[in-house]
Amino acid sequence: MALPSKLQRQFSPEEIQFIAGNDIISIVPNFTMEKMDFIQATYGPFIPPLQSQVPLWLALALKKNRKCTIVPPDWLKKVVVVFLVYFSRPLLLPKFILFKTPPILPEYLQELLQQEEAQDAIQKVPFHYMEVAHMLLEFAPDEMPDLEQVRKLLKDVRECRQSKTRALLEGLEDIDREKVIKLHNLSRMEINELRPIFTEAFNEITKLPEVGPREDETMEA
Amino acid sequence: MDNHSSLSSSINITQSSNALYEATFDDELNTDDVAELTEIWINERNCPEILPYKKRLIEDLMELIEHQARTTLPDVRERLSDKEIEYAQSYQELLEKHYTKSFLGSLPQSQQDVNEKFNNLSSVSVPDDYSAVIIRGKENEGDIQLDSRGEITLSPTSIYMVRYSDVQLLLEEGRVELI
Repeated sequence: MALPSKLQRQFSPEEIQFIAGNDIISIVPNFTMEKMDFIQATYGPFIPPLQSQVPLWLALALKKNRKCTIVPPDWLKKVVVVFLVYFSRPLLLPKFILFKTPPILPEYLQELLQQEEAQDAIQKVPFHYMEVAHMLLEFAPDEMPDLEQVRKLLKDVRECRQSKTRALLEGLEDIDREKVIKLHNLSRMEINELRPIFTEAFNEITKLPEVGPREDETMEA
Repeated sequence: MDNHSSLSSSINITQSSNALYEATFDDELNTDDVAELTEIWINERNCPEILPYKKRLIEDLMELIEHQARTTLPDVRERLSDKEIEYAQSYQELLEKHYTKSFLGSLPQSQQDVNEKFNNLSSVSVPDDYSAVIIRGKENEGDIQLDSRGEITLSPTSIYMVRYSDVQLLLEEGRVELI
């Protein structure tokens, strides 16, 4: 069977999720086992309460069968900050002195949102950030700290990035037929979303003949 | 038992070490066959032309799956690539028959050739090498010159949209992947 035309231009959301499922994540197993042999690799041994590194698909399968708890990746966790950051920014020192304990600095996502909103350029994110976050929120919501806040932050980050990609699209107008287009810092899911629009535009633009003054068309005074 | 170990030794199985959440945020390279298959699948989906069929890889993996499933599918491996040839041939035959019946048959003899060329326009479809593809480097190789299109940086964090023809060789060499 040939591939349906819709799939020829983009991956389906399920396929994107499938690809992201190969990323490694930490779990705390609640069973003991020597090793698990798979075609691709061997995982284990599983010895609670030690953490194990397994692919996300395996972590979710184990979680579904109540065999483990998932450790959310750093970028989805709240980060309790170290004094150093405050000491290195003397302007904040007076504020710091007012508090008895150092305030908890924004989580990675919150910082990312701030950066994203402050800068014109798209900020660096984990390549599968949306897919992994979505899978964890859907299949392991009890492991996620601050569920609602994470959801909101993700939504805001995504929207902010989307508005920037619109600018990227407008930048296409100016491209020289000779140049390449930089898409740094976009995540796989975003690239997949944009692919049909961008490639269509790119293909059409590069087909246009070079514009220049023609000899038979001269301005007559 | 022996069968299994000989199968395993013919396939490169390593501990996968993708560490997405480390400070660099780069995807690290896997050297195992399943990761290779995943990459080949993604490249093929994104590419405007047909890429080389990796017979050995697919056959080895199919063999291992069969062994695990303990079902006998004796003909699947042999026929997989031949099936593709068969499919293409029967598609071509069907198409020709359809064209002939619909209108070609009523045209004068000289116009009936399905492979005809008219002013450099061929009725045979070929892959459009000028299509856009999105690439990134597989390893940190630094900057390279892309024909007349300027310099790009080959690294897993540098993503570009380029014309397929510009990177065809790099893809063949395994220095970039399509995403």
